[in-house]
Amino acid sequence: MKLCNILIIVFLVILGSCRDRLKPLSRGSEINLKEITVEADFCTINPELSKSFLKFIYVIDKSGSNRSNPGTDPTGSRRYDNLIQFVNTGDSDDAVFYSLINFSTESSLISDFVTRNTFDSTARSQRDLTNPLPPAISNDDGWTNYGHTLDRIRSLIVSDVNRSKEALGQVVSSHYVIFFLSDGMPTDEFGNALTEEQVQNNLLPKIDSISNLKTTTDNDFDKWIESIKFSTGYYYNATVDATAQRILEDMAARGNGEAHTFADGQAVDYTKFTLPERYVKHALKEVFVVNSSTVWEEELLRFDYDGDGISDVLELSLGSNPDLADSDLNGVSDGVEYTVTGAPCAHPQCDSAGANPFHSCLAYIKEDWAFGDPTKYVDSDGDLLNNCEEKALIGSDIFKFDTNDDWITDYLALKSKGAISILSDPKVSGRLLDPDADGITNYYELKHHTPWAIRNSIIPERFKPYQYKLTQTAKELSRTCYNLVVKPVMVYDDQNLIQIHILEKSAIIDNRKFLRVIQQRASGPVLKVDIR
Amino acid sequence: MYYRTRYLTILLAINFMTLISCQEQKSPLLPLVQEGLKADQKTVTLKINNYCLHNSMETSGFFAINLSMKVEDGGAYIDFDRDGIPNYRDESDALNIAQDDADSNDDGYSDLIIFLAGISAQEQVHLQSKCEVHGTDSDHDGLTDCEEALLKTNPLSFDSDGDGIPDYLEVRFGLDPLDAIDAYLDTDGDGVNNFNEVKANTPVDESNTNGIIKSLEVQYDTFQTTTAPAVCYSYKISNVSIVASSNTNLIRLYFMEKQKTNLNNTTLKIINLQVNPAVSDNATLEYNFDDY
Repeated sequence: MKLCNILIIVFLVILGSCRDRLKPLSRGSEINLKEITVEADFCTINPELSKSFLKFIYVIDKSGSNRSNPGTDPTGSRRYDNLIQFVNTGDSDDAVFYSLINFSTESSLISDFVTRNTFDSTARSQRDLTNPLPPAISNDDGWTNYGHTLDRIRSLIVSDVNRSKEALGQVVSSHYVIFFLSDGMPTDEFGNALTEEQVQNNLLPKIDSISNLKTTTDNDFDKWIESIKFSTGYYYNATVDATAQRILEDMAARGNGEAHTFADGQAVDYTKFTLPERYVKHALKEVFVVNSSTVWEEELLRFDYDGDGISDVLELSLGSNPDLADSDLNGVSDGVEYTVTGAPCAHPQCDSAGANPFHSCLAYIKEDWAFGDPTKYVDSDGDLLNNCEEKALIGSDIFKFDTNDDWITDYLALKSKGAISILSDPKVSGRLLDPDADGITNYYELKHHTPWAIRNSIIPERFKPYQYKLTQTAKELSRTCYNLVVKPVMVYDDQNLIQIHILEKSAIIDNRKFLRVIQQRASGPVLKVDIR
Repeated sequence: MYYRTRYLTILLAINFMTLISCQEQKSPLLPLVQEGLKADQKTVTLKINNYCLHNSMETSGFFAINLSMKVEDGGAYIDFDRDGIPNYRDESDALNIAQDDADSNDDGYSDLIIFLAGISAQEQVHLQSKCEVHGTDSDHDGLTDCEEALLKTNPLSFDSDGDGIPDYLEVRFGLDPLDAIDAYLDTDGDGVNNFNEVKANTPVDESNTNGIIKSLEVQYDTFQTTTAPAVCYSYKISNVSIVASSNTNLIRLYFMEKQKTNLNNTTLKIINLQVNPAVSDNATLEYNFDDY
């Protein structure tokens, strides 16, 4: 994402610096039509770099039965010793966070999500409070109010997601792993053991409401939560309470987690709980090479200096500025406005005075934006359509580069001018249709950079389709590397902006999608890009 | 005995190369293609006669896959344990995979899944789900129920996403068994879409113009021999590569059918053909469907 931003800045700098050198009169003239080769060396993203957050929520029973004679854990060593050890196992990882909830008659949040070192001292001080030097007494006291605790777990996750959304520009999703430890029967706040009916009607649905956060599309919770796993641990002394054990098992089953028991004074073994796979190798799904300085209009591939998707010729007749991708400086590119509204700007002035302000986009203005800066809005999903264009004009998802999951990004689908849908079900999104009846589906027209609405047989021969050759260069443990050669790529003049869109998915046991767009100006017969 | 010796030599060579490649990690461009490891490959034609459809069903797909080899890196490579990872890649301490065992750590998840997901040996003990009963495969698609639980596919459906490719083959070819769209992408842009790459036994993320891959594409011909009420076919599968493996080549045939009136009613029949690697080049081998 940052790389994308840098690339965009680099592109803008280049754009600014090369404008004077291009002679406007001859630019884009067909005399200057050339075939070049684009060659890219790249690897799938190392999972170490694309990992999601892992967030532990330890929920620990502080009821009086821990210390009362003969308490299940009077010294706290069953609950805390292995916890401290478990937290400190392996290399420190800045994407792992820990939190702690204590519960007895009520529940309380002892520690919000913190890093390992901070959590380590919290856990140690909790152990000290459990087993303090005399005359102080243990802080284990009260009943085992599960219901209150489950509500707190849910609100902890909700507030964490909301906080992450505010703090981070783009989506970094989290796995939430909950360890719920208890030594016995759930009670209400008055110490009455819950009836079977209360367990079924009050307790288990609370677990569902935690799990369901994962699939909540409101406020994009589903995108920020990778998984939620609710596991339980039941520790007891000599005699097992079969009902308590079964309830904890039922809770874990409802929460897609595991239930473990620790009998006879055995310490809680945190290593028994499985963890989500966060380092899953990526699989390459799709790669598109696009010359964004050219655009198909009828049977002609035309020059588009500012790369907004409208050729210079057409921009002059529409009244927009062929040198500026956003003629009216309203933050929405001419091409998006033209495709969606039919006009690239409020013609004929096309100055910022006549611009549509898009009030609904206020939240997406970049923090460091200054008037005149053409990149006004944030592009959360990095698909080259900013949030304002997606939300106010297209209606696509600002956090998903491929709103309808058909592996054609929203930006590329928009370029097809309706041939491939941005929003509709991928099975009917038009990828496999062939409206110009030339035997080439829309998908292949996109891949080969040929027109959607004109039969390829009647376009002038000088416009040749792109041909791809992809070769594997290395298969490493955590990534696969490729060499891609695309030729010919049709360019006008020098300095055409070539985009390489690389789409990946974390392989088979994970379900995250990734997009990288590399943009570089072509000069000379071969553009070589190395992003390994 | 001959094969065994050669096998060991290859093994040694691989170990040696692993050593080298470890030192060379900073330059991943080092070509992994080692000519000496390519399979000694022959080509045969298979004919399956008397394949008759069930009543009121129609064909919905047919695949013939040689599990004893893998086409990649410009050629065909031997895969002794038939796990989808050719021998020359199938030996890694870091991943705990081996070329003579399709589930080297014996955890119920095949080496292929470990390899594709790149899960290190240390992390394998933490896999999200644990496999209690190894080997059960309720939908007989080649993925065990444990594996399907890990992949979140439907253990009772051989084609969870309904794109026409059985779940196991999707995994084997690096596709997503839960994504109905990726079958019709052409990831490597070679003009053969991913569905047809699977049929042809060729890689989805490497253009068939690379090396000799184009010449390894498996081809299919269908002849309808009788018409309704008993619809029968004869399938001809030509240009099937047979590699000089030390065990017989295992060619797995997937016959998929669906009901004409209810597309959700589908059947899969799998036939395993054993082909001796000593078979003569360009031979035509005939089989009778009823014998299996």
